[in-house]
Amino acid sequence: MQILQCQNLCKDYTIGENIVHAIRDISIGFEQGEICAVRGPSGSGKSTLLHMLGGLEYPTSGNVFYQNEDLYAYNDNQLSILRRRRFGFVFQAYNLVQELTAYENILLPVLLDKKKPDKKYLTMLIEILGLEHRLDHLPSALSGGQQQRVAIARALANKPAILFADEPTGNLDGKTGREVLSLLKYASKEMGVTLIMVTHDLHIAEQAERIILLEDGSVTDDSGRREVQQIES
Amino acid sequence: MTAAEGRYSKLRADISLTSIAFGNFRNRRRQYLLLTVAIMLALYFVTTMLLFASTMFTSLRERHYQRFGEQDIIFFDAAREPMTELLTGGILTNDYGKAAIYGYVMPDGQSKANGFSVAVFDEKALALARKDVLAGRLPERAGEIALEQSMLARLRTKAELGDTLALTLAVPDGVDFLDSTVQKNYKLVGIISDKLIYLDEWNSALPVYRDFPAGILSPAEEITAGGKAVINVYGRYADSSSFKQLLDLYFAHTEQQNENRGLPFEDTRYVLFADDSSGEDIIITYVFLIIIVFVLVLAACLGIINAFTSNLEARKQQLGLLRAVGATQKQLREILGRETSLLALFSIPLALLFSCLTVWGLTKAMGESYIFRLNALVLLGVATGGFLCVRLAASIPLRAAAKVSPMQAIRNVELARIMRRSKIASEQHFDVPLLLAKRSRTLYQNKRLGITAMLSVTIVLMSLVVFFAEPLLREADYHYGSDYYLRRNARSYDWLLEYDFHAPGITEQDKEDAAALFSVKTVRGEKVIRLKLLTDKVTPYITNGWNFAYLTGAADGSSNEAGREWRLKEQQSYLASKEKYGYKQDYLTVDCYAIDYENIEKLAPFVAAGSINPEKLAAGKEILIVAPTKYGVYEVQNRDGTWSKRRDFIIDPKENYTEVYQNDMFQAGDTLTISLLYSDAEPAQHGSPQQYDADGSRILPDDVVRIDRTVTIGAILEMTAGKKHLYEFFDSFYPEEVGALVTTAAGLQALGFDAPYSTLAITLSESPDAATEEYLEANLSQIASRTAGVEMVSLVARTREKKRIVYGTLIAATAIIILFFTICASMVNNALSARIRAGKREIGTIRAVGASQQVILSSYLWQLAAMFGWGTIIGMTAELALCLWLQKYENIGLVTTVLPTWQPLLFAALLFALCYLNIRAKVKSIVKDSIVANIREL
Repeated sequence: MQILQCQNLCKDYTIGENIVHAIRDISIGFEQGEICAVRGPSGSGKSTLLHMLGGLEYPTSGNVFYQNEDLYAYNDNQLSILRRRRFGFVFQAYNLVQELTAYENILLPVLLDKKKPDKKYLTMLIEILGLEHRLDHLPSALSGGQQQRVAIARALANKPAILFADEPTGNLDGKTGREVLSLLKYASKEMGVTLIMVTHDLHIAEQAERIILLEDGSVTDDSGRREVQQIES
Repeated sequence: MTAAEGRYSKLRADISLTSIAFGNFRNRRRQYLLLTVAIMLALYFVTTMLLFASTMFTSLRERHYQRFGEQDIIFFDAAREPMTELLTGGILTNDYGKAAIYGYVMPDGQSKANGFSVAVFDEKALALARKDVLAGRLPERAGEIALEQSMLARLRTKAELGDTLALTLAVPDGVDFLDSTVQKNYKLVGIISDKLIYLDEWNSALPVYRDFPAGILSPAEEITAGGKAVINVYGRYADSSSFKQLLDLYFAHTEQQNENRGLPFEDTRYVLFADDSSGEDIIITYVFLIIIVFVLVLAACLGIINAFTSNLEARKQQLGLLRAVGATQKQLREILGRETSLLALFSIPLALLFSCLTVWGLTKAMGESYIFRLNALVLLGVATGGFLCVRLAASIPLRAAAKVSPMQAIRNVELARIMRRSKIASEQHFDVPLLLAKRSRTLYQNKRLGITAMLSVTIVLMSLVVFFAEPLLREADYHYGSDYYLRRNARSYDWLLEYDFHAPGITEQDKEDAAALFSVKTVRGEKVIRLKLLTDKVTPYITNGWNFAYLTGAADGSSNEAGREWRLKEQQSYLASKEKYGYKQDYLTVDCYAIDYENIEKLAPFVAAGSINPEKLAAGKEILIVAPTKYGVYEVQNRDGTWSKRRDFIIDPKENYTEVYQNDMFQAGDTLTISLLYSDAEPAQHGSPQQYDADGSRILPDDVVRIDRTVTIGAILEMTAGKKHLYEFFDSFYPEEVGALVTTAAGLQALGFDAPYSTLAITLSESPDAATEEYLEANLSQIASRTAGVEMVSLVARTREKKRIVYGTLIAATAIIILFFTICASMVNNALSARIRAGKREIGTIRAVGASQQVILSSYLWQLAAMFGWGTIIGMTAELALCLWLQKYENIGLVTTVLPTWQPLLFAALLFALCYLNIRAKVKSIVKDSIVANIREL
């Protein structure tokens, strides 16, 4: 069953008098538990597509459906709730809150939801990510790899349905990058989380079940794709 | 490198730094505009205060000159020794002028009472004495005269310019006056501004030998044959210690050792403080003014520091970049310093311009007696001081900014350093906005201290304004009971007798003329004379009063050795006077107040025994006496450690009295013998008519008249009745003395003790407009001028002036508070705005993980509350403590003032609300962007 779909998605940016078509009429869908890589050259619109799929940026036109519900029909509050409960984000620059410790960063989406943390689950997550001895450190005291692990833990803390990762290994060395990728795949497989990953690295992309190739804002190849199911409006 | 190359490279370097400074100016116009406004506002407040103070000083000085002249000193009869020696002693500058008195005008043709002298003034004396011509011209030919405006009233003439006045003159002959007076006709050619009525206010002068000429004669005039002109000199002091030197010189040349017996010169210089102000009062006033100026300058500097800090915080990355590409700290300081100078050069003229306009506008609104003069010294001082202030204030953040690390171009190195040093433990369960706020507080601790301090100071200042506002406003609303007074100041009397008893005073005609003026509703007259109560019985109930110290020669604890000796001599003089004037009984010298018939019945609430019978009072058969049933005596310690006694006529159960006295002297129905002892001889010195022999004993005059009468005490009066006090019903100075007598004007006449009015209290039917006020002042002044020593007091003007001063003070204080309020708001907003700007990425991150806008706003709200919390608590504690101290320990009439509690809280709440609205707007503008825009790297 397709958990996430977009139909006729477009994104334009106005720079001075010029209009840049970052995304041109993309319609794709994602299955539950799928591991998908979105690949393409720099400036092809990969991150833009990811941001729109994750509810971080509004499209110029088109729709994004999560479980057949139009994402952008929600108001800001509803979108926020959806993001913290159903989506998880991992960014290239980690984007941790500098004033909070590693543990507090991980807890953030859970406590924003005013839920009691599932200590067992979190402990397991922390162990898997190898963060046991770094929990009281501020992000500035962690290495790049450690920060990215914290970001992954934060993204998974609320047991999301979909994990969006934007160049998750972009700022990491090769070994650490491979480790992080393994963790992402493991999380996806073990927890049934749909992983949508943006990368420009072919080697990373080949780790995925499905590769979507983006060029100049359009999908030029989608190996391993499923058929887009039209959503009854 | 050659010298030329070295100079060239330096020149290029200078141009480069200035180019960078100008470039920054151009590229950051909006930020610099805000900075300019902040600097301008800060300087504007300080400049306005200083200019306003300067204007007040100028106005007060000009008013003094208009009333008294510009001379510092007037020497009387300067041709006598040792006057000539004093004139050449270097006390004065060489620029002095002379007035030669040719005669003394006697308005009634017979006596010197109410008279004035006429003189020939040289150019210098005319200029120094400010004999400003109001109409006509100065005399040019013999037979012409110019008179001060009030002298026409003194002469009781309606003469106009061009008319001839027939004047009777007493002509000085070098020793006294010629035996015969002379009649002279003068053509009135000019009216000049009044001086005599002001100079004479408290010092009714004797004719000629100590007089201020109020008439000007032509230089062509000649003195009557046989006469010798008396020369007055008008001069300026050579330096500030001249008057003291003059006194020392004079005492060295004469037998006189102090000023008590009058001096042959009058010090008329303008001083900010009266000579009788205590050193402590002057110091307190100067310290208070310095504190005000210091607070203003400090506020201005804080505002400038805050504005610069905020500006530089936003430019840290730019500065880091400059450092990264190779600029040294010194070069950074130079660039930023030049920017500061440019800002100052632009802001200061604008601040000065707006200040001048503000003060000019204020001065215009305050009326004609206030003069706006552009004081170049003040402007130059403020411009220079302002420039230095800006450079100095800006140097603090500039120095810190110049030390920014090159790495700042890439990331926030400073914050990372603070984080590394902080000891933070993870929280297991937390409220997200609260935790974010708490962590910010830990990381931005130092920056919070300035805000806390500023907020505390602002709350304290604001509370002080509120604390003093209520009594000040109460003071401004104080109603004197009447609108105008005509008051005779020149009474000469003491416990022994009334001197110059039949000297002119305010007449019945004067009262009728005042009552006939437009808008006058009532005129209440009051007469006061000194009478003696003859008695065989003198008890401590009476002798506790200071008025009767001569009876026993006793001194209270405050007297020094000389004072005690003097009191004993007074007692000896008293005993001698009894013998000389035939008093077999003791006598108590008291004031007898004669008020209008219509007002006597208003004293009914004060009657303790007997009753008020106006008819019997008017017939001279009865009299009222002030004799409280009981009063308490307590002691207070003076500042010098000695003790003085005070009397309480309302017994306070909480007070620890040393004694309580009951009335054992007077009963209603008792027969009293009252005696008037007076002399009609002119006293040697008005105000201090006593004469003493070589060993300090009183000289008892021979030519006195004694009149005794017997009356019955109609009623005994208390000092108080409920919340009312007896003195509210009297217009003359009421000394609150046991034994004072009260009757009606008719009663006084019936007793044969008739005297002129001491006071006329005039009440209007409605508040006067400007034209009516001018009309009333002119006419009442004319009436007052008919008699020497009578002044017209406008309580309408005094009330208005008082209100103006109070409201002006409160407005100025409020302006200062607004300045502080603005600086506080600015500091808080700048701090939080900087954090919001710096935390844009964090905001995006938190939004990305699912935080709503409300969560983000809440975290800043908590930070705002933290900033306000300590500042408000410290401020409130400090102001309550200060106000309590003022209330308890400083007797400044604030006992009933309520402590400011809700006002500073309201102020803090208002400031909080304002800052919150700003924060809300800033957060909204960030969340308006997409999450991606927030977290996107620059």
